[in-house]
Amino acid sequence: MGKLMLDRYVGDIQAELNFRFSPGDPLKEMIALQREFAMFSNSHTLMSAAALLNLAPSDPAARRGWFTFLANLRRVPSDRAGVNGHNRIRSVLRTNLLSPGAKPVHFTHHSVQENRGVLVSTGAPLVFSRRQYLIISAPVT
Amino acid sequence: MTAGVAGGNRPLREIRDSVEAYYSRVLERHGPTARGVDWQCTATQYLRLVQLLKVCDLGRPSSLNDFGCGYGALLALLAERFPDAAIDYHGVDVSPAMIGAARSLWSAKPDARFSVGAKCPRRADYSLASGVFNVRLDSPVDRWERYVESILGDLRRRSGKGFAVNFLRRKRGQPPVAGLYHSTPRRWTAFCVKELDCTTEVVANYGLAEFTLLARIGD
Repeated sequence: MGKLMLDRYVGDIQAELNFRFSPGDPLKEMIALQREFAMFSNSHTLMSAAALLNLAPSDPAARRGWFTFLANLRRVPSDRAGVNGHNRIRSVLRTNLLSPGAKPVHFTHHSVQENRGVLVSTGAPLVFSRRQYLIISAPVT
Repeated sequence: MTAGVAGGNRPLREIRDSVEAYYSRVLERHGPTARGVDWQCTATQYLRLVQLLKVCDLGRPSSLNDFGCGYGALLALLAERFPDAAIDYHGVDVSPAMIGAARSLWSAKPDARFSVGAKCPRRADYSLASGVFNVRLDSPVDRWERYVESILGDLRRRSGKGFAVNFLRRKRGQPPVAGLYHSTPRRWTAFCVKELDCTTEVVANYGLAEFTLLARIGD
């Protein structure tokens, strides 16, 4: 990740992702957008979804790096056998947003040395909240 | 995305001028993108337009005024959603910078017309206006509401079948955001029914903190 974007942009984009999928109005908005435009369908890449949602840094170089990172997720495994990291994230977001009990999503990351793949779980990732989130963790170097 | 004023009195002209200046600055900062017309992203911009288009029957050839058209984002959505529809499109915006961007962006589509102005350019089957009532800047609410009324009156006069607009929704228990105009459906459905002789339909709960007002004429 550090090769693709300056450190400061990583925190910014992670915060923006977590805000746009947070409980309440942001999550309602994301559910409505998925229903109307199916951004996380198999016919769209995560890159195109991110562009449509403006979930990308405004700095041009950081933006390119972010889109490259998303594209590279196709080359990493996931916790689902035979499913690459990119498709795992797309699929789990789609399923979650279309489910009657859609959860807010917490995006985080872990070291590739811990685990090479994208990991998906549910839990309460915020120490100050008992709310259950869908947790998506991407491997980074 | 920028709004105009149908009346000729000075306070409304001042509002129009401040709105024009505001959106020209936003465009200069972000370019012809959703951010350049003050929306968060293309997806939410399109979601609003989808609601407005519910007033239209695009199954037959139609003429359409796009009031506060910005850089013409509606044309992209129409091309994607209604590729076979015969639509005579005319976008109007009070910001010359926006119209310049629209003409540049849509230069390969000569049948799409754009003009600078504070009124709809002609009578069409439908008129749509997205986001033109949201940013009131420092205008007092009563003056802004007269401005809204003047625009709704113009949309009514310039539409043969119907028009559609959207408003930020006032959320119970939350203070209004400074510089933005929030309202309730009742305020504007009443105006459209009583003053403009329209039938109305409110579209809400589409994931955004706002509502869309569809006004039909002659139903």
